[in-house]
Amino acid sequence: MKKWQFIIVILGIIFLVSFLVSKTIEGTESLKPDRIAVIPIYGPITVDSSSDIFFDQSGSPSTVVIDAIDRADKDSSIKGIILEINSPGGTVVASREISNRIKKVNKPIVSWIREVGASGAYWIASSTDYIIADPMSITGSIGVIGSYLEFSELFEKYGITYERLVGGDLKDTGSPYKQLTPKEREILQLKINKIHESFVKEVSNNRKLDYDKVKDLGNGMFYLGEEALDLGLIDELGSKDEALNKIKSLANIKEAEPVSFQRKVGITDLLARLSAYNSFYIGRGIGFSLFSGFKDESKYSNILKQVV
Amino acid sequence: MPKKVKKEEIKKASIIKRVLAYIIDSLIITLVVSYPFNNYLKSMNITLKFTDLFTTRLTSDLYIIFFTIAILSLIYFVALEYYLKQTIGKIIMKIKIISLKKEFKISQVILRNISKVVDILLFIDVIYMLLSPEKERLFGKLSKTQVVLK
Repeated sequence: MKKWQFIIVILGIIFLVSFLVSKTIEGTESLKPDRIAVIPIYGPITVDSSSDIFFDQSGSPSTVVIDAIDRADKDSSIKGIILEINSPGGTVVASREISNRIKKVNKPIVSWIREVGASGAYWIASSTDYIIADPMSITGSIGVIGSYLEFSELFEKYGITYERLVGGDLKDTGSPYKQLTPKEREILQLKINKIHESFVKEVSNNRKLDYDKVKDLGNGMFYLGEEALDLGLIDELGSKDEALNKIKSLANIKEAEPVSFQRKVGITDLLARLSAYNSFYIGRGIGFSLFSGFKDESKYSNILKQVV
Repeated sequence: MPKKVKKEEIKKASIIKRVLAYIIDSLIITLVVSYPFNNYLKSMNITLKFTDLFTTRLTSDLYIIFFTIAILSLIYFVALEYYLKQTIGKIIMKIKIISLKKEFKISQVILRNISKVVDILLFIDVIYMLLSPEKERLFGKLSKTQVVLK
């Protein structure tokens, strides 16, 4: 047998054995230990991760969180999921997407709110089976905000004018370059009210609380963990240990290893983040505010995407 | 069977060539041996990184995976070195192994390669190589083999 033929045969045999062993292990349930998936929800909750290196890429894109939930749900060794929440909220759509995915999971899910689990993050927490929060954490904040900076007077001061060219009278509603008309204000407020109502309904259904009670609580105010417990917005005060004990009892298991389902950060991510932080601090101030206003007009013109 | 090699005939391979050959072999092993386990390790949220050995609780399935990878890696080195005197890395770097004894036994090849699949032995081996005046690995010396230019 020639040299390279021999090498190929050896490599083929090795690959085959490795492949067969891997398939055997994948199919053998008894070898897998019981595990608890810990999925972090940190920072602003968005629909997708930003690819703009000039802005902070931290946060929790719904695609990433849902992907982690999918993986945990499919993995038979995962007996329960803990959502480790430390987020001030996020966009309506992203929060709803995550909340809807959670409702389809066939395993117990516990939310553990660390410092902050407010607004959209609380919406997500409310759709889990049980909420544990630190006594001094910030929760609730059931409300919708669509506020934005409007620069028309500042522009006027510098001789910059907004040349309005629209097809459809309401096309530039929410543009930061002009003041809202009473009609536009009314429309935007109606939409915000609608989102708020939907938010209140979701929390009321998820937590099995009276709608009117949630509406009263849902004035946008945040509550400390202790207050939230009294109001029925959370189930228990505690830390990660309590969350682990609760998930074990819900999953009816004695021992389980918590496994972080955190997104892995590569060297390119780290370099991009470093660049983003540097750029942010260099350009911080009014220049940054103006720049972000110019750059992302759609952010302001589409009030439906605003944060809850 | 090879004749006993006289010392003066030996043209030792440099450390750089040997290290490069080892890196090439490691890449091939990663591709052929470790790749099939990737999906499973990914689902377990574990990558095949050295640091995972310290941060991951080794459960029965992980023991099996690491053991399989170690054994198959050893088979790669032993089979190729015993029958061809070269691995793919050594072929590319134009180096080969020879026995310093009359015979060339499989036990010699196993001994010279055992450190490549056991981390702590590899560490000892590399330290020994860097400190020894002949720049030879400890397990290469113990097995009475030598890496030479082809």
